Amino acid sequence: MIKWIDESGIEKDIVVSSRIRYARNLKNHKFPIFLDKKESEEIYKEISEIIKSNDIYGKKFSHFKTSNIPNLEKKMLIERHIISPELIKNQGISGFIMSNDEKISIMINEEDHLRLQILSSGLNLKECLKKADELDSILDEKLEYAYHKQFGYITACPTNLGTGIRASSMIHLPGLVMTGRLERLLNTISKFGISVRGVYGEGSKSLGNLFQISNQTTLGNDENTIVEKVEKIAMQIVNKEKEARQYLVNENKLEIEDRVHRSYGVLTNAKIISSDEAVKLLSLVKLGVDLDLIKKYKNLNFNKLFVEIQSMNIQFESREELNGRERDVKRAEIIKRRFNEESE
Amino acid sequence: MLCDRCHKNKATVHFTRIINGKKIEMHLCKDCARENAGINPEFSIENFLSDMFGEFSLKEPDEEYKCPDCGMTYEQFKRYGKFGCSECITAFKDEIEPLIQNIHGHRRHKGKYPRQKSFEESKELSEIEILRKELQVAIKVENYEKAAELRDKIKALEKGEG
Repeated sequence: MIKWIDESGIEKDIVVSSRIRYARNLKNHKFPIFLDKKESEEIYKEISEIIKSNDIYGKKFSHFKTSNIPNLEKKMLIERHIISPELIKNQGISGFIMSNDEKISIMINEEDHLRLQILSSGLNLKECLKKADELDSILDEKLEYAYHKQFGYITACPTNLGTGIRASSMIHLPGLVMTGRLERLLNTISKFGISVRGVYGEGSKSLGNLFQISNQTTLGNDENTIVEKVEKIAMQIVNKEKEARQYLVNENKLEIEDRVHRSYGVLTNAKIISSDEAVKLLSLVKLGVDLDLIKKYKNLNFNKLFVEIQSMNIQFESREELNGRERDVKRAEIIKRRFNEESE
Repeated sequence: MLCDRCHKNKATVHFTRIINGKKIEMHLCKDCARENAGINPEFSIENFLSDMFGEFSLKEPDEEYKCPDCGMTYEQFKRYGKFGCSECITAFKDEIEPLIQNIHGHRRHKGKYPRQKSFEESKELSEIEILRKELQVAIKVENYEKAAELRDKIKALEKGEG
């Protein structure tokens, strides 16, 4: 089961999740691009030992070398946003440490020696920052971080220099997409140093109306300022989304109801469904539930379901490799099951 | 639209360059783009970054210029867009500072710093230390012009203290 998405948190109807990531490197080791296996293992061991011997974190974490994890599981962890594709690309030298509730992970020898990540449901960036800072300070007691007096924490890529922080939120914006207001809003947002990208789908096209917003730059402003800015802008977007939804209900109620119920019909009756189609329909059904156009399923965790129906998660849960068609059949079953569980 | 260069293939790479305030537009096919000015038609963030290094660096050091610690050459750094170790940033400081300014809009860190930094001595002294370190690097790579520059800066700071 996907543990970290527990459907708590502020504005959870619209904000799916929040994430803080810190990039850190060690002073006395070559950076991952130049690391050999032996040195990479020293780093893994060093970091792993600190976590194991810590009173607070010691018992709550599991430690893995990437190359020891079965392929299916690696990809499943990417879909759950716990590890990154880059970590797998570096699997000869990389590893990760993850908390049992999946909310905290430390990637080792990804692009940087350390990538600390705190995940949370809803809009919760300040709380995530607090936790990231705590974990970072514990590691800092034992490690010698690479730091430059002028440029701050030294990261492998110059785009992460300074604080090394990336604060991001995943937001569900069907109202803004349907009213055609999103593009203008995104243009304005980019002027504030915030970047936006679709979560599912290729390039700028987003499936399921899910978007990730995050800070573009990491140097020159402190951690609190950066996080506050992302959170403020996320709140602005949430308010605009609410306005757009209200507009849809006031001006186009019948059309919206039609689209929501059609989606609901297909989603809950399909026997074979691709992940693209499922994500698209789920977004509309979720909107229908949020707007009270569908009276049931108030307790259905849609945010979790978005992840659960991704290909690798389906295979992981059924403990076997499936071909495309088998996955599409399984996906339809899972969706039906989740909806049935909640309507009882 | 046909390629501006070979006039044979379809132009699939379109780019605009602004040189001294003059806008130059070019439409090239994949092959010509690759040959012409080393533009890589396969867009990736690494390519994008390494193109940026070319655009924003004030000066091109010679290709043999290396980080004295990990041996990464400036050419390699441009290609990967990544540092090889914690000393590269000091070794390539002159070249990358304009780039950092362009990426972040700032060139000085504000915020958290590691524990060991709080044991450091007074701020001015650590600035001298940094300059001294840069001086060592400059001498090591036989960049005497830069070494002289650094020596003057260090002298000026020492005077200010006295």
